[in-house]
Amino acid sequence: MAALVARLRRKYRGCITGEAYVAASAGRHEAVPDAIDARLAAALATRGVRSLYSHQAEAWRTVAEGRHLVIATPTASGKTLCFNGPVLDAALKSQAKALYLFPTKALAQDQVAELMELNRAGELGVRAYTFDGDTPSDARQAVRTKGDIVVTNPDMLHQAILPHHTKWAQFFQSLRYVVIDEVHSYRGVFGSHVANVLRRLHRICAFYGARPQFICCSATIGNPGAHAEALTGLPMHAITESGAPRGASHLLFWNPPPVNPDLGIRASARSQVSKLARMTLKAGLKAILFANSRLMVEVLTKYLKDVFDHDPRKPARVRAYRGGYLPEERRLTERMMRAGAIDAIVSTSALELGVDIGALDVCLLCGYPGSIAATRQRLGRAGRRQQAALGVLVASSDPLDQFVVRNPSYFLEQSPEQARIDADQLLILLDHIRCAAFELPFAEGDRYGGREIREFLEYLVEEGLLHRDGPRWHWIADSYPANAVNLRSVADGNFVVVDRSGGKQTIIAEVDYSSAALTLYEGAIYMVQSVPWQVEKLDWVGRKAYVTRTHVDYYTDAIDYTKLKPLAEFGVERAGAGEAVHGEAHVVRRVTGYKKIRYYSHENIGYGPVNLPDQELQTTAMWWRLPPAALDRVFRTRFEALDGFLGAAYALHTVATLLSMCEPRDLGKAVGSGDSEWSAEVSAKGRGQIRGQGGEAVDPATLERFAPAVYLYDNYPGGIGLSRPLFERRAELLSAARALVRDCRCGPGCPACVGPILATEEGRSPKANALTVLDLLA
Amino acid sequence: MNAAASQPGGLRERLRALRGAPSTTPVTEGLDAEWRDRLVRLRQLTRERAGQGGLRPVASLPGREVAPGLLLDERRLGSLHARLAGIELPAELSVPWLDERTVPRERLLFFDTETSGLCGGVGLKVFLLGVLRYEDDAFVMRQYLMRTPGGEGALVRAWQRELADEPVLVSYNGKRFDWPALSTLATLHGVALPAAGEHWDLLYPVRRAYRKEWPNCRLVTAEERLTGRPRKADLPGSEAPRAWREYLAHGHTGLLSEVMRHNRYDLEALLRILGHFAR
Repeated sequence: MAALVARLRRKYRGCITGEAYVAASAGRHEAVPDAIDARLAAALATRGVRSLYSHQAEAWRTVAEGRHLVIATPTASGKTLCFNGPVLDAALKSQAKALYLFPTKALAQDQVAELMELNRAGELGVRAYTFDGDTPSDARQAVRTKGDIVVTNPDMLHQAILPHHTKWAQFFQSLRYVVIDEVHSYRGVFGSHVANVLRRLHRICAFYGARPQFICCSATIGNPGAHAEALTGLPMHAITESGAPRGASHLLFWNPPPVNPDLGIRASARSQVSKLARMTLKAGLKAILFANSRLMVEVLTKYLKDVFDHDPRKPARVRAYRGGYLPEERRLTERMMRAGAIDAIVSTSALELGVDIGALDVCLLCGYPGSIAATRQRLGRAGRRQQAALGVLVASSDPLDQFVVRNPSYFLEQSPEQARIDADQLLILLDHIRCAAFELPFAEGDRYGGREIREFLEYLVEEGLLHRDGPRWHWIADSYPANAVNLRSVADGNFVVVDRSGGKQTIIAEVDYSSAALTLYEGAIYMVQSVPWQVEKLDWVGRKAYVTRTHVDYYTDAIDYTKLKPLAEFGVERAGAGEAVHGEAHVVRRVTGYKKIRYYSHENIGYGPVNLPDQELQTTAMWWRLPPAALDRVFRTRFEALDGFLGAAYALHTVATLLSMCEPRDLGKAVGSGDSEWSAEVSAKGRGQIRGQGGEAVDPATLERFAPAVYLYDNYPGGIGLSRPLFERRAELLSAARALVRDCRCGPGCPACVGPILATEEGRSPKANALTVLDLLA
Repeated sequence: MNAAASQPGGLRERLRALRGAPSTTPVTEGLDAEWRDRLVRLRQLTRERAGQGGLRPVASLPGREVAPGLLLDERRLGSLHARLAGIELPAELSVPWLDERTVPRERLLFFDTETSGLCGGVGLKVFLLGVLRYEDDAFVMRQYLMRTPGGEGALVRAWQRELADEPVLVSYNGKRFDWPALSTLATLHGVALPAAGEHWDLLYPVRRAYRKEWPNCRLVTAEERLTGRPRKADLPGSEAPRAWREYLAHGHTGLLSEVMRHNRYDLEALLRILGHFAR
């Protein structure tokens, strides 16, 4: 390891923009509490646990005091024992039952395996079962009535347990603990849904007279206590100091070498990561590679397989891992990793959580994961079990990446992001009030999530779902509302990818609704383990894509554009020469075509058309607009003004993503006219381009009125609470965007400030134009 | 919560617009106060006319109100009616699935329910429970109709009383559907039912014997093939959920009366099918 680091420092000095070294640290230990059941103490001793880390002991004490708690300590610090200890102790002493929630099935299964080992070690006789979609129906009865610990996921709680709570009556009556692991993953839309599932759980527990204690675990985030409180609706004691020992770790910030410094174009992160991976494997070390998209996982896997797995007679050394693969395939990869049979695994965020994949030496990040918390979580996957580790963050040309890699101190000094949810988002709230009404009738004066919900109930009466009888509202519809609510995606209905090569029909993957339009259009190359299939037919209504095996030397990338129309204004404030607005908007997204990109050379070798239904959403947004007169004073042409708006939108979006600590995809951006006559985008040639209402290209000079606006909107129907804080912090937002553009060292503009500039033209500076727009608004 | 949600007048309109295809007109624009009042009054009027406001035409439903929201229609089947309808059983029953033992007909409880749907789960409402038993030398049919959802607790307690003498249950697919649905309600209302005793679910012997010969093993098919009495002029069972909702929403009793008749037909069919198996 030391040799590899030394070699990188020597050969690639220019790429390394920053380094951090964390020395190994000793742990802080405390004795196992005296009061614990002797059988459990013996079981722990058999497993080598003779003392506790300080945070484990603190967790144990907090549970004993009867307080709800959240434990937020780094990866591999022994969080599991913080809840397994007290839960097993109570199960042995007083037959207390516990419900465990994990975000994925794989984690739940890992957990039961671990419980069973402890159980066997001490012959404890505690029954722990998983309850998920794979649990056979004849085993479910036993899980419900005999399980001391039931391990499941929020989706099962939502769709299978709560709507059938009477079958679980015995379980709920003795329910003493609810354990929620990986609470940081319950944020945004998913987290808002889960918070409501927990509100429903509270209702059901109260019905059976139970008041369980909640034990949460989280990765390191900025607000573990507040987040767990928002999620569970309960006061939480937060434990954030880890007492676990830590191995040494190196972290390198890596900026690919410039190819065209003037345009800010650099070598791709992909090429750098695949080079670093080759060096790692040749040094005999094991690596995990993280990429930010499923497509990039496939491309990287192909490049590495081309080097290491070209001999089909030998077992594969490189495997890909991502959502969309079938469960068996993922379990196989996990087993192979644990057994040490694979040298490199390429993954999306799917492996960010605590799936046990054994010990790894090097973690390579292809692109900044979008947040400090996720970056730390991913880096934590290397160097478990106290061995020295190396992490390399390789920046892409995205502005966020460039910002981070040029300011390593930002990453090293800033505390990680805060997880945010909006449990009262209207549509989500309505979804779960429906489910809650199905589970137990609401009575006059009942509150839900601390709120008076009479209006909602009346609405559901009008919809014919509820019937009011005296003081109660009863569910009367012939439907099972939980089936219509998917916790994980905006619109329900996953697409299945069906391979019909050779006459048979085999399902090879699943794609969620939101990414279907971008990945499964007819003509798209769809990859699984870097093997290409071509989409021949997309059945949008039936949610199926038919593919056949193909052999091509390119992959495809969708081209989409966004049109936005303001609907209502909640607040308008002066902003320099223009105005800033917070309001409601209608957004249409259309995929217009795709590009074919050749492997390795990455040249564009063709286009194809796409004909898919528009995706629409009505949401909250904030925007800035400038009157034509103000623009005419400073810009010679409308093209320049347009360049400026597009560049300003790019910079504002980057800064807003950082400021609101959300995922870049949660926040949309658009440039258009304030009256939705036209919308603008950056064309394939890197110039601003205007489209009319029907999507046709329009010359801005021919427009009668030219009053552009720049929009930032919540990328979720009804909004998810991002645009209002942005509106309130608009001054901060503007000055940060101006600083980002002004202080960038590029020439006419680059991906790190106003977006990529593809061709230089005499006298054209999108960067200067963007600054002009931002200055006008200040 | 954003601004729009805190304006009560706009909330429902807003929900509607958000959930439907997103419209291009603003949903937050408030109606003026006078119009809002008029709408509220109008809605109240239509509701009262539809029978939701308090007055409800219950007269045309058979039976009497035995608890708030629960109607009981009880009828003794006269010997002539019973003979014409083929409602006859020997005093001591011997069936193939009991070895040597016989069961007196007084111990049998035939039951069948009608529900708000087939989706399952706690939100499924059992709005009609029909039972048929032999009492004091005649067959007696009792139908418990949950006229409004508030009658649910009373319906479950009536079921508890029916089970008090530990009868032998006779049903068609009752093991998988009717019994669990009623048990769910019992748990929901804190009513302790006796543990499931002997239960003859006739679907199973019918399936074993005729699965390969018949197009399906539904109750009406078995009735027609085994007893030679095709069902005539009957509402299909699948209409039951709609009938109940029509009644709740508008007070229409027509369809609901037909559902009650359908339920009686089903109970009689159940008895005749058992008669076919009895030795």
